[in-house]
Amino acid sequence: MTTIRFEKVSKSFGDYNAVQDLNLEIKDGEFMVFVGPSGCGKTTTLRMLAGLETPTYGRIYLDNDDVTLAAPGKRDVAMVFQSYALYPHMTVRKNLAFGPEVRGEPKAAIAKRVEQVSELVGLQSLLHRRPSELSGGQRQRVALGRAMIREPRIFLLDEPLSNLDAALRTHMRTEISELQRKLGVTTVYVTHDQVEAMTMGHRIAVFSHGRILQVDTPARLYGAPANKSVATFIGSPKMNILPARLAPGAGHVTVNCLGTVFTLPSLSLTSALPPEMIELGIRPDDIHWTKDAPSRCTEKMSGTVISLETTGSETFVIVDIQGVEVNSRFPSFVQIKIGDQVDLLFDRSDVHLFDATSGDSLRDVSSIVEMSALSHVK
Amino acid sequence: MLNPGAKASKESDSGAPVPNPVSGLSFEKVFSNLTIAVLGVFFAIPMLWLVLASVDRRATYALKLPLLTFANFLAALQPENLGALGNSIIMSVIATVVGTVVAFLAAYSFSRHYIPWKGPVLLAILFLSGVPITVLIVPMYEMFSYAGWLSLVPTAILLAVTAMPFQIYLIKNFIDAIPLDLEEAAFIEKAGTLRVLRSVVVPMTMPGLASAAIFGFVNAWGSFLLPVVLISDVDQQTAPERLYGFMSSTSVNYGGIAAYSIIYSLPVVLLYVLMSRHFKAGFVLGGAVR
Ligand SMILES: Nc1ncnc2c1ncn2[C@@H]1O[C@H](COP(=O)(O)OP(=O)(O)OP(=O)(O)O)[C@@H](O)[C@H]1O
Ligand SMILES: [Mg+2]
Repeated sequence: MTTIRFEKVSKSFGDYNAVQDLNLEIKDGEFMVFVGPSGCGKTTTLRMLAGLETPTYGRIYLDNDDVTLAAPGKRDVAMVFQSYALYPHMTVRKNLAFGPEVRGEPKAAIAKRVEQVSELVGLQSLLHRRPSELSGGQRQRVALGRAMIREPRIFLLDEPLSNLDAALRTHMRTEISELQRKLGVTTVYVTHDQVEAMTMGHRIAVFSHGRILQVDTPARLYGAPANKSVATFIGSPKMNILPARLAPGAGHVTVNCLGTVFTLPSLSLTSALPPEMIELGIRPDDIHWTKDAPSRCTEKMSGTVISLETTGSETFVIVDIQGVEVNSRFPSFVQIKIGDQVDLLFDRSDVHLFDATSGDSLRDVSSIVEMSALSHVK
Repeated sequence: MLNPGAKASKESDSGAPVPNPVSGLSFEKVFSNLTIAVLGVFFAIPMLWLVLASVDRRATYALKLPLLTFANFLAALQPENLGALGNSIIMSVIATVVGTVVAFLAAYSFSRHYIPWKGPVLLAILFLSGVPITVLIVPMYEMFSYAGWLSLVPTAILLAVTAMPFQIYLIKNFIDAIPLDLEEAAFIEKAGTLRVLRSVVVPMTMPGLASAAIFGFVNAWGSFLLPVVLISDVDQQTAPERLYGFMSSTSVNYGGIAAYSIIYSLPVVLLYVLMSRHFKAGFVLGGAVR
């Protein structure tokens, strides 16, 4: 039963600011996912939470207890290190049992837990090996097992599945989610994998350059990104960012993007006086081939196909529209080749508008969700 | 040493088949093997003398065939000689244990903790390891006699101190190589500092600790001047001093010296054999971090 609160936390290494002014609340039993590009401060934040790093500024609370300066052993957290940090002189069994032994748990209980956990992570047959005799993925599972053997106040998992094959990763994803739900332990999970983030997280915090850009549920993060960085970071393939102009009108604004002109109600914008030059964001998933488009898609663009990339179930087609590359999703059965002229359709309620300089979203986030909800109904 | 690898690659560049690097005579090879042979003889002859003289009834300083006897060994195994060996063992073990334990703790602090002016302090320690304790023998004697310490145990501790600078350096290098993550992982499991040292740091520093211990032991074992000056009680004399018991003003018992020397060198050989398994450092860090 643990809530976590970061209050204005900053961490500098020398004069490099790894984490800046972090404010974040994680609810009891919540599965919080940290995502963000490499070097943006995710591990540093986790280490501050574990007590391995002292914030340069700010406070960290667990259940309203100030633990900013508390020693790691006092916080009752279990952590999977990004580097694994296995004890090389101990067998897998010893590695798993080390923590419980240190805490003086009864021998029989430890042996039983080791059996359970090694089965959970699929290491039963390797219990007698040393870390040097394991593959990278097996080592990572030992590291994961060492955390899962505990019932701590908080789980801190730093990219715990990064080295596993696709099947094992999917399997472990479910196992972790299930264990977390069963134990109800507040969890912070770092990952570079979009699918992991979207499927496992109750909420996702997007980091960039030591700051949190947005914390939200996976659906809202995808549907209503607060700025351009979040929009392009979440979702694969990346959201298209296209140059556009805004012209204000009575009760609406007119958007002109690569020759396509459409209007949006001004109420759906955050500011009454938006800039003229903006950037328009639209996901490849929301751009449809004419013959495959839902009827709500009324805005049209056309261009020349310059490259194709098929994933099997669908084909992503990059289309050159007035010199700008636009990625769009086509059904895989479409017979199409490079150089073809194609027409693309999209729904104006699916577009995101960003300030060209600050990158902030210009659309009122609540209105986007409502509008798209409406448009999906009709 | 020869460098067959470099030679082979030179020849394979020119397209010729790589020759067996062992076959064939070259000036290089003859010269280097000769040098090694000469050096080997320099070491082997005294050893040979030691063995031959120890079983020679009429041993002299010359190298010759012995008139077989065990009398020398019987003389070397006289109670007072054995007692001196015992004293040497006690002294060396105390010096080894004290020196290695203290050096380990110091090395851990130097490796992991914040210490003001760490660099200069470490340099000073390195410098100290080069200062022969002999230059301090007079003030040391004064100090020991003033404090009433002219006996075996304080001398052993002083010997431990003389080995410490080098031991600290040696062990610190090993601790530096241990990823910090491992200790942090243990701290997160609620292990205390002593537990982390015992279960994580010590096992991984074992090769360093073994080397440091052997260094400490040999340093104390072979020490002559300090025990002679600082141990006043005849019953606490150490083995190197007893060697002098085989020399009188009129004659030298070469056979006795040789036999006693052989007995005297056995503990060190034994120690190397016992410690050798701790030297296989290779596996120790494998697989800890990616
Ligand atoms: N001990 C340290 N000393 C100096 N700089 C550090 C230290 N630890 C981290 N940094 C810097 O802080 C920044 C954030 O590091 P952090 O490890 O938190 O990144 P990350 O988000 O976990 O990245 P990744 O996804 O690659 O693991 C990096 O630029 C890194 O170089
Ligand atoms: Mg990281």
